[in-house]
Amino acid sequence: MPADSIQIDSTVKIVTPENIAFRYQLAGPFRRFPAYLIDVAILLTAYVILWCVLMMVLSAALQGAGAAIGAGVGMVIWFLSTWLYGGVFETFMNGQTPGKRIMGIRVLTVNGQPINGLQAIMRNVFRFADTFPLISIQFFAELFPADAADMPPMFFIPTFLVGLFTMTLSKRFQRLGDLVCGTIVVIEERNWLAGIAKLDDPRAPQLASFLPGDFVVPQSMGRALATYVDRRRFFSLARRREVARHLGEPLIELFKLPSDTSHDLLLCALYYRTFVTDRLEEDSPRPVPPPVSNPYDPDKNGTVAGVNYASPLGRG
Amino acid sequence: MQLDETRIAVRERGYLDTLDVSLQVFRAYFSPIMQTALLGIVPLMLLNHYLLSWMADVHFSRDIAEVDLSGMFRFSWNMALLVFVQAPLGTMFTTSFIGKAVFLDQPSFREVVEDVWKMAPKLIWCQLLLRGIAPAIALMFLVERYGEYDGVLEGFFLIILALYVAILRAVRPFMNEIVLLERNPLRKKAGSIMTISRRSALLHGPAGGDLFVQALGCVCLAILLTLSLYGTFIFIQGVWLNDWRQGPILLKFCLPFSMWLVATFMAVFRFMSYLGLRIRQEGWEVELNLRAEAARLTKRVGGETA
Repeated sequence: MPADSIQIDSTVKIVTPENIAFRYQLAGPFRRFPAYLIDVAILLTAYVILWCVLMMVLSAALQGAGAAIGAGVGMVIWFLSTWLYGGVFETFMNGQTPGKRIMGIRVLTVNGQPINGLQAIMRNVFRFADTFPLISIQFFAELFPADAADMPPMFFIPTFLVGLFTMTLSKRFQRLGDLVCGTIVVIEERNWLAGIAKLDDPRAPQLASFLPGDFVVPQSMGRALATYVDRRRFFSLARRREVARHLGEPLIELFKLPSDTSHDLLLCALYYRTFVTDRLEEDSPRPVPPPVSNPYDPDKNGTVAGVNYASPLGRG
Repeated sequence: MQLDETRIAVRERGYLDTLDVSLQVFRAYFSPIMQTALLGIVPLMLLNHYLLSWMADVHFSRDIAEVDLSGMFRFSWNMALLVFVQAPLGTMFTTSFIGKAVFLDQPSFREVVEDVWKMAPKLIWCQLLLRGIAPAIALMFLVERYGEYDGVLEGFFLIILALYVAILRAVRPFMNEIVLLERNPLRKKAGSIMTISRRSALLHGPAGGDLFVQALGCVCLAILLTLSLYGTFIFIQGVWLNDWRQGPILLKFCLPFSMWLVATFMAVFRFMSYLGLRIRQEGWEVELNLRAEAARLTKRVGGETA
C-alpha cells in the first residue's frame, strides 16, 4: 500500500485536546438502521398505548367532545414525540436512544466528547432531511386505479437516499444531522484483553530455550506471532501447518534447526520466548545460562539437544 | 506489495459492519467500480432490453384507467428475475477489480480485463451454464414477442430456474471470487490439485447455514435499495414534470438501471463477505501477516548476508 493512501476501514482515530488518541469503530448506515427501526417501534407502541388511554379517559370525562379533543391532543403528542424522542433520549442517556443502546452504538462529537442537548435535538430534527426523497402515494395508487382519481398527493414513504448518499460521501459516516451538529456515531466495543495466550504444548517452552538469544523479534513479527498463537486453536491441524509454514520455513533456516521441526511448534516457541520468557527476565535478574555445546546443531535423529521437536504430524 | 498492508483493511467483521465498509469501498473506488461494472453490465442490459422491452410497450396514458398494468408488471417481474440471475456475470469485472484493489492502490484496468478473459472458459461453465444464466436468456428468447403472457415459460420454467439459482447462490455465493481470484482449475490434473468444485465445497460447506441467512438478508436489502432508487427516479420525474406515473423511460431504463446499480453494490458486499468468510474460517489475515513477515525476514537476512 502506498504511504500516502489511507487504508479503507470503518475506524477513525480521534485525538483529544489532552493529546490522547482513541480509535473508534464507526457505525455506518446499515448498523444504524436497525437501531432506528427499534426506536420507531418503541415510539409507535408507546404512542398507541398512550393514545388509547387518553381517548378512554377523555371520552369518559367529556363524553361527546372527548373524542375530538382526544384526537387533537393525540396529534400534538405525536408531533412532539416524533420530533423530540431522539433528542431527549440522546441528551439524558449520554448519546443513546433505546434502539442505539440495544445495537451498542453511541453518538459522540467529532472530538470524541459526549454530545450536549442542543446537538442531540438538532441532529434529530435534521433526520427528516435525511429521509428524503419521499415517495408519493400516487406511485402505488397506479395499482389501484379505482381510488387513484380521488387520491391527493401524499409524500410519506421515506427512501432515506439523502442520508445514505451523505453517509457514503462522508468519511465518518455522517448524515446531514451529524454534519450540522459535528457528531459521529460509534460502536461501543467491549473487547476483552487477550493477555498472554495459553500454550497447550509443553514442548514450546523447551524449544524456546534453544532459540538464539540474539534474535530480536521485530514489533510487526511479534504482532503476527501473537495473532497466530491466538487464532491457531480455531484452525484445523492441516490449516495450522499450511499457515505456519510461511514463516516457519525461513525461521528454521535462520536458526539452523532440524528440517522436520514443526512450523507450528516453532512459532509457538518464538511467541513464548518473546512474550513470556523475555518479559519474565525483564522483571527478574537474568540467570546465567547453562553451558550448552551447540543447541542449534541437529543430530542425525532430527533432535535438538536430545529433545525431539519433529512434529507428530510431519512437515507443514 | 506488502501482504499485511492492504488497501482495504483485512479483519474480522460482522454482517452489518461488512455492509458499511462495502459502502466505503464503493465510494473509494466509485469510478473504476462503475467502469468495470458497465463493461459487464451494458451488454446484458442491451440484451435484456431487446428481450423484454416489448412487454412494457403498453399504452401510457394520463388516464390511469387506460394504462395496461399487467404489461408493466410482466416487464418488471421478468426484468427483476433476469437481472437477479445475470448479476454474477455482469459484475465479474468488478469482482476481479476489487480483488486486486485489496493489495494494489490503482489496479490496471487492462489487467482486470485480461484476468477475466483468461478465466472466461471457467466462467462460461460455472456461471453461464451451471448457474442458469444461459438457460434464462434462452427461455426469454422462446417467449413470443408481443404475445400474451406465457404461463409455461414465464410463469413456470423461469421461476423454477430463478429458484434453483437463488438456492445455489444462497449456499455457494462466492463462485466468482473462487474462479477469478483463487484460479483453481475446473478438472483435476494431478492428485493434490484443488478443483473449483472441491474448493467451493470446502469454503462454503462449514458456513452453509450462515450463508443462507445472509442471502435472505441480502435479497431483502437489494429489494429495498432498488425500490428506494427507483422511487427517487419517480420523485425526480414528479417534481420536474408534475407526472408521478411510471412512464416508458422510467420503466424501461430507470428500473433496470436501479437494479444493476444495486447488483454492483451487492457485488462489492459479496467480495467483502468472501474476505470475512476466509478470515473466520481460514484465518486469512493471519496467513497474510505471516507471509509478509516471512518476506521481511528473508529480505533482512539476505541484506545482512550481503
